[in-house]
Amino acid sequence: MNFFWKIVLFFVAIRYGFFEVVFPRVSQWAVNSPDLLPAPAAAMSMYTWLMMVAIAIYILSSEERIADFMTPIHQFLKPQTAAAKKGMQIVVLAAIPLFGGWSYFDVNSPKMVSPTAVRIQHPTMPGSFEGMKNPLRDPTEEQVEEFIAEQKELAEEAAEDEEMEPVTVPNNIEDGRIALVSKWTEEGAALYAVNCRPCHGMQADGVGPMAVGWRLQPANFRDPGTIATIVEEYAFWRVSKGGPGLPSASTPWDSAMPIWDLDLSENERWKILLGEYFLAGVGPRQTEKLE
Amino acid sequence: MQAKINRIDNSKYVVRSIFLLLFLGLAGAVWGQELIELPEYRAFPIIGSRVAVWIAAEVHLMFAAFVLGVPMFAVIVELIGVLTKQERYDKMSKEFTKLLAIAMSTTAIWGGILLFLLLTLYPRFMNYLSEVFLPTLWIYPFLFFLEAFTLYIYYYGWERMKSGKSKWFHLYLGLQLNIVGTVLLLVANAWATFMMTPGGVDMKTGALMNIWEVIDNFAWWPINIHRLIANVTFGGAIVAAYAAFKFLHSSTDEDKAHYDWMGYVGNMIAIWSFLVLPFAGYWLMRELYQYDQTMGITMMGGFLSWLWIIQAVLISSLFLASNYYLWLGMERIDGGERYQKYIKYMLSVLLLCVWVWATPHSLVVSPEEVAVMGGVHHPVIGIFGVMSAKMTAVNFMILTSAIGFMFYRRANKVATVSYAMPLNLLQAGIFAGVGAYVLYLGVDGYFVEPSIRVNKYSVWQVLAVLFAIISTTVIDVFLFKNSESLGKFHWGKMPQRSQYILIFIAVTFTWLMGLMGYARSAIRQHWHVYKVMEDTSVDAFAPTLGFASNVVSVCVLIFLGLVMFIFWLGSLADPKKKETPVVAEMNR
Ligand code: HEC
Ligand code: HEM
Repeated sequence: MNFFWKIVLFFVAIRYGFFEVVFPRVSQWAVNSPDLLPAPAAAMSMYTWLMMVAIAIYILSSEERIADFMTPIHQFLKPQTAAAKKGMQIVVLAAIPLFGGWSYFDVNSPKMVSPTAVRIQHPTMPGSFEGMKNPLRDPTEEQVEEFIAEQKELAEEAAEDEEMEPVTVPNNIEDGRIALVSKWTEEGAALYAVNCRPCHGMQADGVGPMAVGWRLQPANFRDPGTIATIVEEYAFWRVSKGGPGLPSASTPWDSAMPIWDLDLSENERWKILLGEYFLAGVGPRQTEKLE
Repeated sequence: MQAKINRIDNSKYVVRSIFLLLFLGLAGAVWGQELIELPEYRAFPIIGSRVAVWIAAEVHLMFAAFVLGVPMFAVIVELIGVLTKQERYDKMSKEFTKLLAIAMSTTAIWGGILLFLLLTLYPRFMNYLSEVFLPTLWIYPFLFFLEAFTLYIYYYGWERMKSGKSKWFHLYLGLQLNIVGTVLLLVANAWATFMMTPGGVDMKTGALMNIWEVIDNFAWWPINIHRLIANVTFGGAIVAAYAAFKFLHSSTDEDKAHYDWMGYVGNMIAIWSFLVLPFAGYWLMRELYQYDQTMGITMMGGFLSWLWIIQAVLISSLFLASNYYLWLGMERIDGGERYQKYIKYMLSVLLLCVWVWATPHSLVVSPEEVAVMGGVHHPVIGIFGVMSAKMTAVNFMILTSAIGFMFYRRANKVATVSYAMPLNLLQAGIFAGVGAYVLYLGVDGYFVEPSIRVNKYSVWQVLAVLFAIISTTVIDVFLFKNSESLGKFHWGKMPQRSQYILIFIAVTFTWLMGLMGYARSAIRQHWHVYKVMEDTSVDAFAPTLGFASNVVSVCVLIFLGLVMFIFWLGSLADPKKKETPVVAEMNR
């Protein structure tokens, strides 16, 4: 096979063979999806362009390759006498402008197509949420003392009542703080199970029983690209204002995420975040220290 | 001859008058405010105040980048000339400086335009800035004067200080040019960065608290470093474009050889400094992220998402173009054909890397695609959208370019030392080992905390790559001791398309630079000084990327138009008779 056809074959093999046939199936297999998962058209066209540039560079980086590539074209374009070759020439030469015209028509003719857009998962958060801290991660001394007192009472009750499980009373403030935060985390996880599980799943992996119903899937919190890359007040904003709180660059109309500040108190929302991060096994992004 | 002298004098007057105007303008700004009630804003006709200031600032910055970047390597090239006693280096260095001397006055003119626009269109804001920055505003014109002065002595004294001790003094002048230029850059950067990451003032009232903290604000050093390096890149690229332009116009083999070589050197400077930029860029981003989370999120994920897609495509093109130029260059070296067979593989690696590099974090998708993927993240492509993958890709591109350059260097050489084989194997081993290590960190980067990925892994990757580049270069020295030559470098035997590549690289750099400047400014959104002084003008919003690209394109056109003019002016001063041929020396 001559160089010209090798190049054509290479292009076809990668562009169609790999990207259209192999790649969607591999992706489908990788995530066990019901559909084929081709690369989005916009990404595809970028890959194709870059590949064409690379191929052009390959040909053009040596005089020999340029000659190899052009010779078959020149040969083909020479005046032909044999009827078959002549016919072929006419077909190809006619096909090129026809193809050009058809492409132009195809691009410009009115069609029903959905607009493409960059959907921004993490847009700028409103200023009013900036700098908020989850008050439940660092309870005050009074809160801890109150909690220890409660635990003491409970422990006394438990000592009398056979049915109750034994209650441990933290020895000092530090232990008390840890115990209190883990109590809140548990409560948060319970709130999560009631409110968020249907969509985000009990494992916080984005596949709750209702998840399949949505076109834009609920966020998978175990994915390092979701709640692990945002600071906690950002997640708090998202939970409070939901999908409708997103700016239009983030296509709020696609999101099924409810507005939770209508139904849950501020305290409950912070609590849920404790539970949510815990269930997902990740932590919020830390603000790096200013040197 | 008479005409030439007049022109030179004119340019000196331009500089002087600009200096005077700057001085008067500043003085007016500082004292005038006490006397009259100032309006907050004034409107510029038709295009509006913001666009007017934008264009003036960007074009000024482009010229400034050129004027500050070129002296850095002009002096180094001059020094090489002194050390190797090869006349051609001196000649080239002087040619660089000639461009500088003309560009200097244009820089000053645009600086003056910028200052007047700012003073008249944004009085309240300038009033505030001059209050905070008063001492630096006094130093700046002085520095500028010193810079211009040094440059003119450096250039016009070239022939007089050509030999003996005075040559060393001349070199010293070059050094001074660089030092003053760098300080100038630091001062100007303090103003720009203060607007993004203010420090040293009361965040509520904006009152000045500590002038040093105002200057040494959070983004100051990251931007200083990024711009210093970028200026070298930019200077190299523009010089290469100049050489390409001259190459395409030259009719004699001698001229062709000279400009081919000059283009090659300019491009080498551009590419080698370019390789460091992505890291400097990531560092800058990280610092901004640290200063303010919102700013970080806006920059990476917010309305600038498209910008990063464009930036990635541009940088990819730069990598492809510069490697292509090297490969074309190998064609003009006897013996270079031995390395032709590797191009396929290098190109394949580069293609894979640019695919990864250009894969956006937020994909451009239609609702149907969202439905199929269940979100905007494709399960496989999405993997390439994050930093770990990008860093790995860019490191591989750098390694590949380094290998390409290594082939270029040895294109006409055959090692004769007895230990050639083991040394070659060692080099291959280093590249393979570093490649594997970079890949390992890249993959592992998905499983670690962002702070480890950013602060440790990416640094280790860079260090490993630098190690590979430096160690293999050192090995080359031993490997090619007493090497046998297969022939020579046929300077000037470059296909014309290679010169268009040089021009393409320069234009792309210029555009990229303008676009990044927009990104930096746009993340302030509706603030003049972020979270200290609010923008209350009609332009108190970040312009869209589409609009910005148009404005930046206009800036690029203005800049390139003026640069063409300067090149043409430079050619007016060319002596009609050709100087002594240096081709023989070059083809050694
Ligand atoms: C009706 C289904 C539904 C319920 C119920 C729901 N979510 Fe969501 N959530 C979504 C969808 C869909 C998204 C992705 C689109 C978006 O970001 O708005 C999402 C996104 C999020 C995000 C943003 C993640 C990121 O990285 O951008 C957070 C945080 C979140 N949900 C938390 C919660 C919490 C906490 C609850 C329970 C209080 C909850 N969600 C309940 C559907 C739901
Ligand atoms: C991942 C890589 C990079 C990132 C994240 C990045 C980021 C940035 C940012 C945020 C700015 C704005 C700061 C400023 O305006 O001074 C900037 C400026 C700049 N960048 Fe980069 N950069 C990267 C790579 C590059 C490369 C490869 C070039 C090569 C040409 C480059 C050239 C410049 C220049 C010249 C400026 C100054 C522009 C100006 O200030 O107007 N950068 N960069």
